[in-house]
Amino acid sequence: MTKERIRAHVKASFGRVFAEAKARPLRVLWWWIFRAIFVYGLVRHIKTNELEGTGFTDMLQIMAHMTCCFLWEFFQFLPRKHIFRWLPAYTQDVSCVYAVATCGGKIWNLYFKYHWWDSFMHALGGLLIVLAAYELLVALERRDNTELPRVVRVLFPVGLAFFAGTLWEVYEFFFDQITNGNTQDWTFETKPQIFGVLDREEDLLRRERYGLIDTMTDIIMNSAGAILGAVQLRLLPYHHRAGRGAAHKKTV
Amino acid sequence: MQQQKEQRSLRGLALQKARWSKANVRRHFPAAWRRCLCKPKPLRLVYWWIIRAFFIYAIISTWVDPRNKAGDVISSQEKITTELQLVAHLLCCCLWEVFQYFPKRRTFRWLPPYVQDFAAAISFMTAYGGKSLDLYAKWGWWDSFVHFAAGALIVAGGYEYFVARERKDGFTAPASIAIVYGLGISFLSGVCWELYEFLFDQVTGGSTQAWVFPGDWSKAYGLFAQTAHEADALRHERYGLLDTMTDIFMNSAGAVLSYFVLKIYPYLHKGKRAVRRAVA
Repeated sequence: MTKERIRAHVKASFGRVFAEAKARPLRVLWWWIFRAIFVYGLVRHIKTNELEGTGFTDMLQIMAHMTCCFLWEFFQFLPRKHIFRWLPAYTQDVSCVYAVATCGGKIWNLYFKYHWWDSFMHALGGLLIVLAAYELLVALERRDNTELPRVVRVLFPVGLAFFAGTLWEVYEFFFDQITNGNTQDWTFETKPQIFGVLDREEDLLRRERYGLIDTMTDIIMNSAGAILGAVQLRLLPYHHRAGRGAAHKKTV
Repeated sequence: MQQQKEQRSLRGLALQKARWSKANVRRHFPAAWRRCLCKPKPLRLVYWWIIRAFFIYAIISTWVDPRNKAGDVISSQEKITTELQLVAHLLCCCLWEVFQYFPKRRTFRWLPPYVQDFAAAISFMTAYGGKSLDLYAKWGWWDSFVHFAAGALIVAGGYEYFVARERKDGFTAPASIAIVYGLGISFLSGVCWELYEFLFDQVTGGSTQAWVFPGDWSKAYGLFAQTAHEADALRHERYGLLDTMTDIFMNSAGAVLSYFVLKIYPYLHKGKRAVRRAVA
């Protein structure tokens, strides 16, 4: 890439971002509301907490989630050959809500207040990853001007949702091991969730078992969300419905 | 694009025509039988039959003399579950032949014979090595190794399935999509396996996830023992989570390794075997 081409690329990328803002101002307003929530949360966290230990990791978590609200703009700066560049802007509407819900759960202590919150977020995460992967496939179809068969359009997103769910559990495990954290209920602070009631009686009394119950609950809820997403894609593949034309015929 | 679509519809039409009729059925079975005998190379057939012979031996010996490695007679329930497991794995070693009897519109029919080499290897490692030779108890690392190998091989299996689909339907997709598809299938299977173990334990009172501390588990649990919290590492009740996380981690490691190998060398997307050639 020459200097001139880089300059033209950056200019065109900014052009796309501003064109979206001009065409759909309400959408951009929606994004900025969530970004404002994150900025408020970050400032409040810095003012009220010491930035050491968990205070510091919480701050990093807030910042990481905040970047989820800027992803679409970032993707616009990628070269044309990258699939992410072809993702539609409305994917960020959903990622903003999910980022606030997960991070908010941490900041407002929703995971401890409501025990169903964690399971709900896992199920929602599984569902949203399936839909995001479907959007990625559609982006690929548009980029390459091709059409993939239905089985790929359903199984690929489901596989990706399971991939992400598993990686999350592996991340939680290593996070606990390295930082002495408690994301997998090592320290028995929370109660077993849905599957506590199915548990054997003698095991239910052993708090040490909570770690496995918590992990399996997460995995089951992820899977349930992913399967729900797969059913939705099977019954209502919204980019490939008859009459609306195949995804590749539309332009981004 | 238009040409690709036309090709696909022509193939679809040909497959439609090939549906069941009396004459078709009469031709179908001898043709499938011929494919089973002629398509795989002789050495491959020998390899398959060696593995099958091991399974048949294990099935007969468990039926005649149902004892465990310590020499104690096993209960009738355990005998039946062991037999069922061995038979199920023996069937896994015959899957490719079964697929040859499927109609042409089924993707599995399009899988190449070498896929069964790997299926037979996994079955041999888990059922014969693990269960019959009791390697899970003898070598603590065996379980982790099997999970690692299975994670890696399922990625390749998913990749093969995707390419078989490409051949059958006459479409082509980038290699990266086929590889990520295989990766997803591998993670899906890994998670389904853990879910099965969890539900099996809940329903039958089993201990596949190490719910019941069976004595000296220091070998089986060793992988993460070094990194676990010191005080917690001594608590036997923790073994359930450590066992599950070890399985998940090894599955993931195998799958990721296989992903990178395929990324570097997508053997069905370049060279003589390139799927584009077959589709064209």
